[in-house]
Amino acid sequence: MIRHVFRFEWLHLMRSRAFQLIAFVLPVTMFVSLYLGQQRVSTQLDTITELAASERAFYLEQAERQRLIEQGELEVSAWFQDPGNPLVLAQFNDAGRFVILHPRPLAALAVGQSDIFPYYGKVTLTNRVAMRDNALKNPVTYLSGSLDFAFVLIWLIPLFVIALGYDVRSREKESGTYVMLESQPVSVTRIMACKFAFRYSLLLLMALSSLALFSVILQIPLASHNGLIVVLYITGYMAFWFLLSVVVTMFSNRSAMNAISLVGLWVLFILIIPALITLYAGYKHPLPSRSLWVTELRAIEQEVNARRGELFDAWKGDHPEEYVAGETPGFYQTWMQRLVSNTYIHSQTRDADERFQVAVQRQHQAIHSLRLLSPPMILSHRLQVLAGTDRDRLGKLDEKMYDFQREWQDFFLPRFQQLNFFTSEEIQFIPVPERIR
Amino acid sequence: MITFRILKNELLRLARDRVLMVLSVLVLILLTVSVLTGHQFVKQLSVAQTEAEHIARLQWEQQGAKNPHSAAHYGTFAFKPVSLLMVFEPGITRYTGVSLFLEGHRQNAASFSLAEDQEASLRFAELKPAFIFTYLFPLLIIFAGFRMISSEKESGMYRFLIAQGVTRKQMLAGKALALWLLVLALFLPFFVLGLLVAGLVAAPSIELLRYILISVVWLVYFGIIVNLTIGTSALVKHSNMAMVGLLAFWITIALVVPKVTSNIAANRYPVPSTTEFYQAVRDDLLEGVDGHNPFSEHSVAFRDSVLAAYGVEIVDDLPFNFRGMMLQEAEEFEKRIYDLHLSRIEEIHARQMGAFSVGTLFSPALAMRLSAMHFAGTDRHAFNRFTAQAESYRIDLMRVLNNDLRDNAVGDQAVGYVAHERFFSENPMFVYQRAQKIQIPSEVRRFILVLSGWLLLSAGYMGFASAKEEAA
Repeated sequence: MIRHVFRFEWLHLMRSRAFQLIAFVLPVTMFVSLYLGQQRVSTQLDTITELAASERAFYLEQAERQRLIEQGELEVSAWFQDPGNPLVLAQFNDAGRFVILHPRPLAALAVGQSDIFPYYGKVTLTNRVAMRDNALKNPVTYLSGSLDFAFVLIWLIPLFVIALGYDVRSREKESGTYVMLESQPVSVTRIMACKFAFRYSLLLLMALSSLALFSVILQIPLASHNGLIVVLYITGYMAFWFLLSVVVTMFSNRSAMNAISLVGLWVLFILIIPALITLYAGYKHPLPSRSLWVTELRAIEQEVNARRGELFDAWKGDHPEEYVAGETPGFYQTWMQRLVSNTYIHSQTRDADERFQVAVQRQHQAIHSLRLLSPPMILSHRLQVLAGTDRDRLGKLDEKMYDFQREWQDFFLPRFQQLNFFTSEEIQFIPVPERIR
Repeated sequence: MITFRILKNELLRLARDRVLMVLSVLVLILLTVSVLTGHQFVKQLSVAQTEAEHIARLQWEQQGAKNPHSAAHYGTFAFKPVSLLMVFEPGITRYTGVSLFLEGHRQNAASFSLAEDQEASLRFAELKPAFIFTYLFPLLIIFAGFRMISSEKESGMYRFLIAQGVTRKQMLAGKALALWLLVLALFLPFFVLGLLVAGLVAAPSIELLRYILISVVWLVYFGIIVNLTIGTSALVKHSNMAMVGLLAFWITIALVVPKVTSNIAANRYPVPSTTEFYQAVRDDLLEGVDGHNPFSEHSVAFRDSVLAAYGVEIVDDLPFNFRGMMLQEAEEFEKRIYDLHLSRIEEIHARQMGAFSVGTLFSPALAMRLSAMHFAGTDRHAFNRFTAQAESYRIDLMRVLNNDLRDNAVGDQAVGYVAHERFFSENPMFVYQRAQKIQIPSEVRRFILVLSGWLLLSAGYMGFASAKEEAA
């Protein structure tokens, strides 16, 4: 019986315009989305390679200049040109290190928040600057979002499922063949189950084989543990929409009503529930104002700077061994004072930042706990986590930059405090941030 | 008269459709909630921005006595103004930074967009009238109208009516009017609510005019959907086909085309990365006066030209502080370089908008949103207006600071000059000037034109459907 139903369904679908359209649109949108994703990742990788090269070139140049100075072949006229000076190596011009969030292997699958959040930043002794490549982008291009694989899977595939499932039972009723099926020795329920199973399997097969083929062509490493999870997500998500179709078609004999109900459910899960959840979270836990936060940081800076001399004297009293008394070059006093006040500013602004983030997290937590109401929202989040483009991961850049800045300061500050300049040999061994995947 | 009767009959039928009534009430509830919460959000945002402006100004004024150029590095902030009509159409405001740091030597980009702090799920949907009108309203119209004519055929009533002397045109007009009345029955309460809640009655008349224009844009969009729905219902043999066709159309215009357009625009006309941009600026800056390096080739040439003009040998003999003059010269040069590079970025954006214009040919939803957000003051032109004014203020402020140094750091004041704290209180203040009249840039004119084209085309389609029926 199953063989008969499958064969009939196959013949039926092959002649169906809707199916022909889906068989064309599904692979095309999948390929385009994966291709765009892969392009995005490869642009990021190119940028990372360029950053590493420019960083390497800077330090090689400093080491070479220092070597020439040591050999008496070069003289520098100003202190800020001396490559052995810790400030020249840790603070000025191109000095400093890039802290980079490397794209994860499956980054091509979901843009997530990667178009908004920076994935690299520069760390020097006093600064942590996240590089916002989006700053120059046309904001209109954000409005409709990106055509990524996550969009195809979460938004479009359910519509294909609906297009294949909305009239499985009602069509038989409308065309009068349902009565004929009832007169068969096999139960109609079994026939309907077979029809749904066939359509589900066919669409799943099309989606998975397209994904497999394109990931091979575009070299997206899907043959991995995470790749298997993606396959499970696709299988489960499509099953969810097919089951919805089954339920809806059980209650109505009119194809048009089924289609409307199913599209209504699609609108509910994909548009209305997420909109209501974010509305509720925004209302219940409003975000503090960034503009006021900016002025709060400014107030901290202003206050510390006003007490700069006093704070520096206190610091000297507490750290007599970390300070060269007596005759020192002109820049030493100025920069020691600046670095000390910077430490105060950083510790206090970090507190203010943490307070801000706590408020942001409260809103996000409210959304996370309500996300369970919408399978598309859950899947969207899970895909972003797999792709490493979720907010939590990208938001870690600042934390990683902070950690590395501590390491950078621990390395350079004692040398500067003691005016212990670097040799050409030592320049080659300055710290490098750990590779973040 | 016949049209009126058909209209009356159709309205009765719509009123008896319980599902439709429930959906209509739901849409009205969503609209009400979106206006009320949106207004509260905009009010809070506006209060916070005003407070931040006030604090930033106080911080500037109370920075203490210092060298004016130290103050230039200390800098100040301009905060993005809040458009009242953001309640209805937030446009791109989520994606543009809220604060702009103004300092000497460089033009910064606005930072801290709302999107950075908001949760990712907001990218699914944001409950605003613009969202409801773009996505949900068309669905409601399709749902109410897809079988208006096709079901008459399916039930045999169609032939009966024709035999009674009703023309197809009358039938189509009656049905289309009924659908229009449904749209207006939902839209007008919203319109009045928006007017009252957002305080547009008391607001400057330009805000009211903007609101009316946005509403007209929305109504044109609904008109397109109404025409296409009735036309399709008249053309197909079965309601199923009308429904599937219209839903596919809705998915294409509301979801697929806008996304595809965005990707094509961004990929075809890519903007450079921030690192590349600043590297290019830095390279060009080497070709002019460097305010912090008196020994650079260009700085020396400038100094020599000034010395020659005043007929003196050394800068100390000049009747003013040379450093103040050089800093201003550098500032103006730096501004020219930044303006040049930013104008190239603007050119890329304009080309991207050209791609969007092409996209609107395939999506009235896109044409509608891009037009509406212009009238709401939440599009890129409104944002550019803010950044341009902030930049103009920055350069004015820098001029005041550098001129103070030039004019007052002379004689025994030359070394270690500090401006009195009072001086900073007297510095100009940034006040954003809102547009006093509605200007429509050519880019937006294209969107409006395309939207009008869609309306005509859809009306033509409905006319074609009735004529085809007539011939049949």
